[in-house]
Amino acid sequence: MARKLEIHPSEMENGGRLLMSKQIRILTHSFLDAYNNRLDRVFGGGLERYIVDLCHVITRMGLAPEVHQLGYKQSFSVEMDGIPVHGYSCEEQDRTNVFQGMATGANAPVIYASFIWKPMQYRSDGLIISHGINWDHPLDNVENKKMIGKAIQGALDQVRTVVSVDTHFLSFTRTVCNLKYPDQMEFLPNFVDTRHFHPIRKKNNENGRVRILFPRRISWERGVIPMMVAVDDLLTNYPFLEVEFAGDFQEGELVHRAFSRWFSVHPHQDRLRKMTYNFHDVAKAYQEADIVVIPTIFSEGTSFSCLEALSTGKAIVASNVGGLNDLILQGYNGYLVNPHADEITDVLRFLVTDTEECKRLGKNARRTSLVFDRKRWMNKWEKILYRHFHNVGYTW
Amino acid sequence: MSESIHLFAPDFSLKEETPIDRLGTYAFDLAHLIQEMGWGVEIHRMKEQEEERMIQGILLRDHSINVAKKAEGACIFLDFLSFSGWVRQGSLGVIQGMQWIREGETQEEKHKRAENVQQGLNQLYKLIVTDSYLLTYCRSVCTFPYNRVHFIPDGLNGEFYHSNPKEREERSSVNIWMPLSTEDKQGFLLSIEIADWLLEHHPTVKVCFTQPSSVNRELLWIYQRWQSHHLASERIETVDFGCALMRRDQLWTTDILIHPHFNDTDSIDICLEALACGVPIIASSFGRVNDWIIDSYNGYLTSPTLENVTQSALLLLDDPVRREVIGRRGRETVLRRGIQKWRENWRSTLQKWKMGGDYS
Repeated sequence: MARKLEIHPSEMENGGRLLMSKQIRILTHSFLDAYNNRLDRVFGGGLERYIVDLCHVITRMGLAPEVHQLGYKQSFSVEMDGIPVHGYSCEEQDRTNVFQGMATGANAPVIYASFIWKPMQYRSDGLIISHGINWDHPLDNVENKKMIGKAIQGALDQVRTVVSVDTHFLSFTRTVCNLKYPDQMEFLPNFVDTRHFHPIRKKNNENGRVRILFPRRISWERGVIPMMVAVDDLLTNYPFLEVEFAGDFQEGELVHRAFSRWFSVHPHQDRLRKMTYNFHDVAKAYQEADIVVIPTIFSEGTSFSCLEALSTGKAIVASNVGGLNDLILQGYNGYLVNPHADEITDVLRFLVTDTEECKRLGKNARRTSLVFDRKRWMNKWEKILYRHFHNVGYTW
Repeated sequence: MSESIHLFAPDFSLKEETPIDRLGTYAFDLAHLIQEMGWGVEIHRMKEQEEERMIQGILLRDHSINVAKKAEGACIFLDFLSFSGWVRQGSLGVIQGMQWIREGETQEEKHKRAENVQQGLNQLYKLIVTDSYLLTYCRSVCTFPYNRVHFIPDGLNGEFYHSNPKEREERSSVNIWMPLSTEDKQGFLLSIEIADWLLEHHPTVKVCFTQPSSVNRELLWIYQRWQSHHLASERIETVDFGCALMRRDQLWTTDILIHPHFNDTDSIDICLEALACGVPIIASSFGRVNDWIIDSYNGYLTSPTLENVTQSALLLLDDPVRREVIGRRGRETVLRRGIQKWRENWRSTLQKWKMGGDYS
């Protein structure tokens, strides 16, 4: 139930500004599906899910969240589950300007939920969220990486608080930038609903098969290519194995086309599945799997998929990229490998033949997931917001 | 120099013919492994005076000049940033932690370091990193072919470092160890502030500090003044933990270890040893300690401020059951990081390098 918070004008004498408006703006490049002109639905990514739950936190504090997003082809103002959502049309070349302009007119602190890698002007009472490092592809250009480092330094110079979903961005800011305050960075990992994503006693498949799940978008950065290479080897060598790809895709994308071709002519197609689930039903996919693979190549925070796999008590093989290192303790609740097909294959070869090891990992996975429960995350966010408002001079 | 593998290291310390710091220990562990694999090995150390002697069956050569530029054959550069510009094509480089982050570093210094790492990546056969943060650093700051950086996590002797609950029984005090070294000035001063707060608010708390280094005279003076004039000075202990055995004994009588670091220092290794001994830890939420701890599961990670650290400390101080649970989980989680795994990883890397490396 929502808790009402009252504003106390008497605290004005402490030098604080009274929070005149209860409307807290969240700025993001993506929320409703403006890419496909589907404003009746939230786009199906981690960022968007994060914003939905952040709105719940803000509402619970007695404040009124409103989301301002890039609208791409059109401007719009709609409501989604009681939350006002404003879209701003923009061309590719002026997205940054439009993004920073979305803060204009706000008379309460603004939350910048994305775009930290772009150089821009922030409000001094703003709070930034980093969802992980997305410029960590080893082959990417050094000059681009330098520009991003400068953009982040600019952001740190302007705002009091940055919330990071993983400790890798924290380390990045310390090694590449200079912080203004020792507590400028707040580490708050992503979350999982541990009641919804729970383990089940899995009935043995009728055919006695072991199932591997790839619960990610069919895309380059999510590691679908090394996964396909590994699967080729594994299906050939282990006839009791089946593999499910359960992720969204962008129709016509190069990697998706390659995946579709590979899938359609695969000699072991009878043991390959390709599914898409809505958020509610995806728990079943985890529950029916034995092993979950998260082979991200770059751009990863504390992955929701990995958290869901932990929570459903599965043996996990993840790459040692970004925030995945914050979730997996090597050999305890999963295995971390370089995002290369041969390393993924090696560890899967070991796991598919060792059910006891899978059980041990799965048990520890569930235990560790409980500290990432959604309720704890909401409580921590509330504390962060109180502290931030206090630090930037607002009183309640 | 072409027949043996040459390990180059900047200065490290020996005490009674035994390495006592992280770098020296790493150099000798690696040298012994190379010997076991049937290859010759020499360690080259940068020192003020030239000297040669056998230590633990390994030839240690001290050089007063940077001989890395004359190096031939198969070379491994430990702490390779110290050899920037001298790293040979096709050699191996190792970076251990982010000990090179210094307080008050300017943007220019940070850029320069990134350039040095990039230069090394352009030349090395492989860069070995010992934590995932360096992996992310290289990936997000430099450019390199996929397999150029390899992560070999540090191993731990889980048989030596084990829990000993008997040592913690029948004690009315709660013993807190704050092992942060004076290398990390901000962290060390914060440790004193935290200890002050705990001593004032918890009459059962005893704190133990690692003897501050005399290299940093100001901090040593601050510490000694603070300790000798403290109202609860009888509850403050200072001990020198030179060897592993002493550290383990101290861990057996420790209930909570607090490490509010601002930099990645040698003393972070004690956190790994503490986990293995079942001691609950509160540490800063960055640097390699984060590879070992999930916040609130097997330890606590927090930003290094008095408020945040004492908040976590209170959770543990008032709850011995929680201390026991967190400590037990800590031990469970690091047992999977045995020294054997470290050796296997290095063995395979060295074999591939010797087979395919163009270092001659």
